[in-house]
Amino acid sequence: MKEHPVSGKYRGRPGKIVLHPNWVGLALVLVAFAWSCLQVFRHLRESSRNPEDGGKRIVRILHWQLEPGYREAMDKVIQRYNRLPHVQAAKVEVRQMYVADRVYNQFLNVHLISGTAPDLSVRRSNKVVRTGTLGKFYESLADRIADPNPYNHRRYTEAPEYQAWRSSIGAPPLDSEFLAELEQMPWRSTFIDNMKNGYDDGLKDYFGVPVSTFGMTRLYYNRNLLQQIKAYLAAQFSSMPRPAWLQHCLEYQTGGAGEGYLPESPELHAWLSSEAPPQTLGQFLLYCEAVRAFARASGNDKLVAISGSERIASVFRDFYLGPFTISYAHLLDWDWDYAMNEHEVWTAWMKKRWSYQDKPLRDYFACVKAIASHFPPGFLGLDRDQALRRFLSGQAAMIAAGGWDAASLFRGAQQKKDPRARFTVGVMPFPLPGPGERWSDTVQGRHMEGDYLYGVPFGVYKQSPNKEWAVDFLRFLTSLPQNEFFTYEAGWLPFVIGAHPHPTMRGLQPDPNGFPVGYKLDISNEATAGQVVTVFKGQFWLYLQGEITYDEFATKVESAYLQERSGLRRIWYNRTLTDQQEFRSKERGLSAMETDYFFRQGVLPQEMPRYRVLLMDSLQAVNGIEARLLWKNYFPDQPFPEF
Amino acid sequence: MPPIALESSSPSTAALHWWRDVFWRKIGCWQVLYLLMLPTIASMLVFDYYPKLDVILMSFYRWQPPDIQDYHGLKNYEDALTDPLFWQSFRLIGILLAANILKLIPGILVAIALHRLLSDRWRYIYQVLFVIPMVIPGMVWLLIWKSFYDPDFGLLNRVLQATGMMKLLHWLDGTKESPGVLPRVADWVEPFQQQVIQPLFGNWGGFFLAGAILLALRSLQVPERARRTRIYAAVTGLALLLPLGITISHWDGLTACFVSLAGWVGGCRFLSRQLDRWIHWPVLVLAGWLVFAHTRDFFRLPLMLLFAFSVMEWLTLCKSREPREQILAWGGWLHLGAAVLLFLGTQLWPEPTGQFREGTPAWLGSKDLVIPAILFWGFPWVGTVGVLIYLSGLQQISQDVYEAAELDGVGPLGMLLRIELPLIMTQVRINLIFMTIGTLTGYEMFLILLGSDGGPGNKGMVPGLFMFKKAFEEGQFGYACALGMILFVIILGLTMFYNRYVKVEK
Repeated sequence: MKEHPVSGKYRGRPGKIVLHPNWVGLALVLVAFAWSCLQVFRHLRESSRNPEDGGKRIVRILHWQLEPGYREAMDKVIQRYNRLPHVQAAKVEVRQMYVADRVYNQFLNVHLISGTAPDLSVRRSNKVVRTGTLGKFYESLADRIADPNPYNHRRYTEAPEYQAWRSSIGAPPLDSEFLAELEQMPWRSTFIDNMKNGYDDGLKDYFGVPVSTFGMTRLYYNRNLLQQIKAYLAAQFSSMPRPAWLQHCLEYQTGGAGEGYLPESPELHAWLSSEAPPQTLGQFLLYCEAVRAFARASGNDKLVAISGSERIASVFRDFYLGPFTISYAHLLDWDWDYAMNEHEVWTAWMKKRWSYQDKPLRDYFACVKAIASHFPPGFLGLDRDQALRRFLSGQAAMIAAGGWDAASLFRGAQQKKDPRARFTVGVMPFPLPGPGERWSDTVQGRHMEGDYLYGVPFGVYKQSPNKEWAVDFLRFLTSLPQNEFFTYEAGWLPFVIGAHPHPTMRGLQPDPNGFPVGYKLDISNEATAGQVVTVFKGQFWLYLQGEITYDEFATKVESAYLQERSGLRRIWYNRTLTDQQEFRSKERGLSAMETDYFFRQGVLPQEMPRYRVLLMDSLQAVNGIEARLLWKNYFPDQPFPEF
Repeated sequence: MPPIALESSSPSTAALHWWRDVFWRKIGCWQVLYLLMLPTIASMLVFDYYPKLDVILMSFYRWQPPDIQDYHGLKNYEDALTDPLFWQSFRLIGILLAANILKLIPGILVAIALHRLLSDRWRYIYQVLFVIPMVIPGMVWLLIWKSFYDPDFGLLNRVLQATGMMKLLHWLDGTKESPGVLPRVADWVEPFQQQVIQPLFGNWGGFFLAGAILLALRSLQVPERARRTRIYAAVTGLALLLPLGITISHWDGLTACFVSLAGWVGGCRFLSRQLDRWIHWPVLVLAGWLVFAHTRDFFRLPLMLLFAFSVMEWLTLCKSREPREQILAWGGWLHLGAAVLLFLGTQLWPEPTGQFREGTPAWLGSKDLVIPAILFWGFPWVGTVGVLIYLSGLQQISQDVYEAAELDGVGPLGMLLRIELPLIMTQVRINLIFMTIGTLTGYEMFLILLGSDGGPGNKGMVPGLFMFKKAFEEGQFGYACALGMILFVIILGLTMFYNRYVKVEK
């Protein structure tokens, strides 16, 4: 008999070794531990050895795009790059990293500050990475972008494989003159926005290279459902008497009488007999009502008009805020910079130039509430994935989403196991009120999308030991052949000139016509006024769900504006602090430049404009005094708010 | 040279000798152990204590990494104390703390059931079964529960519909046109709140606080009047520290900080010398500040205390010690019981939500259902770690105790109430402390489910989420540190309270 080493019990025949399960568990733990140690050791060895000593140079690239297609496309481009002869000779390897959107800021900020950030990362403005600190974390690219991109050389752009791939996707052949021009073009000029997305206006320098666009936010609709419901709607029009919901929708008469959304008109009947999606806001809301009635009639109580979630509700809220409040521009754009900035908006409220009782705002909130009534019940408790799933399962007629979701939606609707459940997806812009429809007297038009900062700019980490290779990879990624391939595979819109977009992305291209983007009474922008906007959002959701009336909503929000320490007066004080900080960072930048010039004993001619502009900005800011001067101008009888 | 007379050396020389002969000799004996402990202590100092000390320091700064670090004095604390949203978040915390205390019960019962299992093998299997869910990542757990609450496709609504519970809920809730049972009860109780609680106690918190003060008066059984008066003055002084500090901070933040801190330390030290059970007075003062912070009605607390001390003096004059203590105990518990009943009557379901009529209540999307959904979260509330901690306590109970109890004819329920529960109070206290820390500082669930604004009407805003938002979304790291310090003080107070009252009676 043998005493067991762990349990102390005597088991088995004398002399026979018994394998207790605990020993197996212990062995597994030890093996796992040894394996982990080996991996860590291997990784450390790999990262610490120079290529000269036989090690590899790892260039890490970080982003938060977890939508299907993007990572796979990035991987393919990375593999192509890693296979290039000169990259292999230098033993360089690019590796992709990704983290979820929600934690991206925290992840990146921590690594930027601690000096362990990836070599390349999507530059995203936040409270840590801002104008004052941008130059600390990211490498200035001004010197590099003036030269042509070597990967736009003809041996790449005229390569037979590339030409064959282009013809396979149905892209028109590239003009040889254009290719010759592209080869000589500065890298900056090869982007459709001349690299504006990578430019920081505060520091007058380039800190990012945009590789693709987010694409615009649009409404996606189920084409199959559209035809069914339009047929149902046409039948309801011809039934006598017409159902109450239809009568209600058509109650609105041109000139403002009635409670519905649109008058009955020849245009409405023409739309009904066509295959087109809703063209105006009135038709859109009529269509939503029809979906609800259709769902009731067909016994499908899960079918809704718009697949909603908190984020999707925010998309509608943010989109319609602009068109409904353009009319304030002539009242509030005091400095004529084509934008109603934070101070103009809030100062105007404090001076009673606008209030929540104004017609444009009442109309805006009524419109958004009317739209939200077609979201599924409890949409605030649903997330974006749940909303996408509902749309793809055919239980929603429409969904609002950005270009980053386009590939998932198009592919998801077509790749379902059950062929009967498959459907085609259409894309339409957010509709505005048509002539004679409700709210048409308030809405003056839509905003242009041409100058919208929608690129995905990658910045090079300043402390990276592989800066030149990181820039080289960006050059590769933004060369015409690679960027076209990458965005086509990912289902995103390309960002370099001459690239052919995926056919499904055409509806997502920005519309350059419309009012300036800044003509918007931005009352929900969290970046500018944190505390009051937190209250605004909390009360807005209650209003949207019908749990409070509009007047209750307005009272709560305006009382938050009036709070002594956390209300609107605080914004002035905060602005002084921010201005002071930016002034100091500009002063630091100027000092660094002057020191550099001193030791070099001269200034290059191309360096002077940037120096002069920075100096001018710095002189104007004068230690953040601007806010105090403005306050004195607007409120001469009141002391500047100090906290 | 005369010999040195060690016996006649001065006390300082003796201490030196002791230091050399005893201390270093002892160190020498255990030097290996000290060396082994060194890495742990060093890493604890670097990774645990240094960041926390840094938090204390940075709470006095306007701090926005990497470059902004300006000394702001007590401004962050002043902002926190006057921030309505921060104090609103404590309302939810109060509800969650009360609910989480009740949620400890299933864990205790399960641990006792496991402990009483006769078969070692089955006990082992159950223990393993309890440990396995720990392997599931928290995020997955969160998403699974979130899908349960989906109004259209979630499991919860389906179960409620299949069992007929949805109809029962609709009967209790009703609609705006025809309110259900619970909103009608709230309507009956409402006048009492308006006419009695509001004017006399300020708010519900004040009403509860009055009951707690009555119970705490029992600790003031001091025969000497002069000593009693000094204690009354010390407690009232503590209650006045906050308004005093705020007033001084208008002139000088640093002086205000110093005066408040010195007053607090001095007051607590004085009370600890005068009273055996002194800790609940600082805790009550802290609770009072919390209760009246929202309305900045800070002078109500000293007034309440003065009234309570007058009652105490009157009782001292009229009654002897024994009946006086009984009157205070009965009065206090009756007051708290009535407060709980009235609070539940008016606040549990004050208005019909109308969510149950269609059979698809939006648990996470409606302001009225968010809190019930969070309370139901994790049903049946049997936490793995908690059960294992209770089990470890139960396994320490000697078999002799059970045998003696059996001989005395104690039944299974008696064993639970008189032996097992009292003897695992140390473990209950540990879980209580963990639960309190988790409830006060946790925010992940609220962030994932409701977003950083706390959902509709900011109903799901908890202090941890508020702190997270201020730090990582608004970049006010110094302010977030000050919020963290306030939470730390509250947690410390509650932990001291638990240590004092939740323990095994020797």
